[in-house]
Amino acid sequence: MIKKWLLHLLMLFVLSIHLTFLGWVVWITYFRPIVRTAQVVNKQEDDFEDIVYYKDDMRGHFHNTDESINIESQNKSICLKCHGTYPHSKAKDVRAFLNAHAFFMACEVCHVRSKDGQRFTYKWIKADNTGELKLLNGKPGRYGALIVPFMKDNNKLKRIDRIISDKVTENYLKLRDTLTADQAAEIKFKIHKKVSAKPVFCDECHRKDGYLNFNKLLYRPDRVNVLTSTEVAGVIKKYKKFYFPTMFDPDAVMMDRWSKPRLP
Amino acid sequence: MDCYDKRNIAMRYYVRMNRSERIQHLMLILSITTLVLTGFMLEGETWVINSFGSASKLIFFWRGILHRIAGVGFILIGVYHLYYVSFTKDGNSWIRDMLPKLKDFKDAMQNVAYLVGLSKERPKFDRFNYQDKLEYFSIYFGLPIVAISGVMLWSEYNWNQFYLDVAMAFHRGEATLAALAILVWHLLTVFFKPGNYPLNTTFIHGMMSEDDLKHHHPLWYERIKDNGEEKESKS
Ligand code: HEC
Ligand code: HEC
Ligand code: HEC
Repeated sequence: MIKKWLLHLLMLFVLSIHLTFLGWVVWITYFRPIVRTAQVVNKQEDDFEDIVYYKDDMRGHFHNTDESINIESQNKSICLKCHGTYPHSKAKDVRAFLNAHAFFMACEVCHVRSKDGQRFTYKWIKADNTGELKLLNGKPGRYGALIVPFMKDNNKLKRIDRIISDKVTENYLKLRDTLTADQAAEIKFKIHKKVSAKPVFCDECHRKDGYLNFNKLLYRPDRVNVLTSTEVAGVIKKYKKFYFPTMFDPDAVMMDRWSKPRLP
Repeated sequence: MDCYDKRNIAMRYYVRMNRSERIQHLMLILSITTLVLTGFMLEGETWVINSFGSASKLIFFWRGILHRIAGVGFILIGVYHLYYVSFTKDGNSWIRDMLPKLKDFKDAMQNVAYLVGLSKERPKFDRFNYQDKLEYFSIYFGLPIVAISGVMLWSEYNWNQFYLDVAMAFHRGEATLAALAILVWHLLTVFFKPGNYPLNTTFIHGMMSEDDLKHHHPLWYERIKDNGEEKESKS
């Protein structure tokens, strides 16, 4: 037989859960503000899929649907969403060159460095993502295509101009004004984890046997000569005084926080 | 029948749910509770999730697994129930009494009229009243929706984003509807059934008292009282 007090206990238990849950459903449906505090969760340790996740993403599916579906469909760099169309402003002498280069190559070409253990391959990818360009046709830099870095992964070439997810970016832009200084610093740091501390500089590309293999990038030999000539290198020599990003150096970040603002 | 005390209650009891039905019902409680809890965790409050710190990653991993297990269980119960109503004697009688009839529409009208004071008399219900039937068949409607959209979300790699968004909308909408139907409707009208303080224990022992039967299901009572106390079936 069922004891009466047990039934009372069961009733109270079910009733309290019932009322709490009902109240909560009403709260989330009608009253809860949409914007929530950001919390950064690092989801996967895997290189290049080590993407910063906000809590919203963590609560989603535990596979990365978004990345696997959209990875090819991206042509405009995600970096631009936060950095604007002309991301280079600090180095007054060369910023125009840098911004101009960004129109025919992915930001990652210069901002994610090929390491010795992990060499990247570079290809021209049509701007509408319909495939690889086989012939360079048009004015310099205007071939309707972008230079995109690829990485070999299990004998498959993987685009790596997607080191930051759309969702993270949107969340960041949405929450930007609500973040505390510490949160902002942490998130910036994590977003740029794959971004190399030292971008590729002019003279690393514009020289013989430089960072990019211009021949493999379909340039005719005479063009390769120009690009690697002292002519371009000469332009560069004049602008050695670069602004150097400090964000990637944690110590520098700490110094930044405690000391006076950096001099321009 | 060790669940109720024959010595204290000098009253006849009739079988409302046989053992198979009680077990199916219990499985339904288990799977739906798990589904609702693990499903609504996706809407969880930030401060609650944060309070678990780094464990929240693991918790949400298991959330996904549990939700899928319970979902599969839910579907299997549905499939078993179809077998039950099609191929067993008790199941046949169950579905026969459950099928909607013209009388149900009349009952519904009359009941509303009675509740607002336009009719002096309550409708006389048979084994299942129109609310029971609506609730019962809402699972026939809801289960396929959550099951199909759920399987789509599970196999998300095979779908393009548009279909996943549609599936998500259906899954979430139907799940919220079902959770509220159970919490507001089923719990308040059946579990905390008025007149059954502190709660209606029929789902545990399967019995219903003669009084309740006469009051809530007079037509059914007329049908079965001559058979004497209904024996619980073997299944
Ligand atoms: C041709 C190589 C190259 C490309 C392509 C490139 N950058 Fe840069 N970027 C640099 C270099 C070199 C610096 C460092 C400049 C300095 O130290 O003065 C830099 C600095 C920066 C800075 C910080 C300094 C500033 O000027 O504000 C940001 C932000 C930046 N890049 C974003 C981007 C984004 C976004 C893209 C893609 C749209 C991009 N970069 C493409 C080479 C490049
Ligand atoms: C990642 C390699 C890379 C880096 C770094 C780079 N460039 Fe270039 N640059 C190129 C490529 C590729 C072209 C050719 C564009 C084309 O014609 O298709 C080019 C073209 C040019 C040209 C035009 C040459 C011509 O005759 O048309 C100039 C000038 C130039 N770069 C200057 C610079 C300067 C200044 C910097 C540093 C601020 C720089 N580049 C950094 C790859 C690079
Ligand atoms: C979600 C927004 C966001 C995205 C996406 C993003 N960045 Fe940033 N980035 C920032 C913020 C914010 C800063 C800090 C700027 C400052 O110092 O105020 C920053 C700083 C930088 C800096 C260093 C500037 C300095 O002054 O030290 C570089 C270089 C840079 N980003 C490159 C990139 C590249 C390359 C990409 C694309 C792969 C990218 N960023 C994508 C938000 C973003």
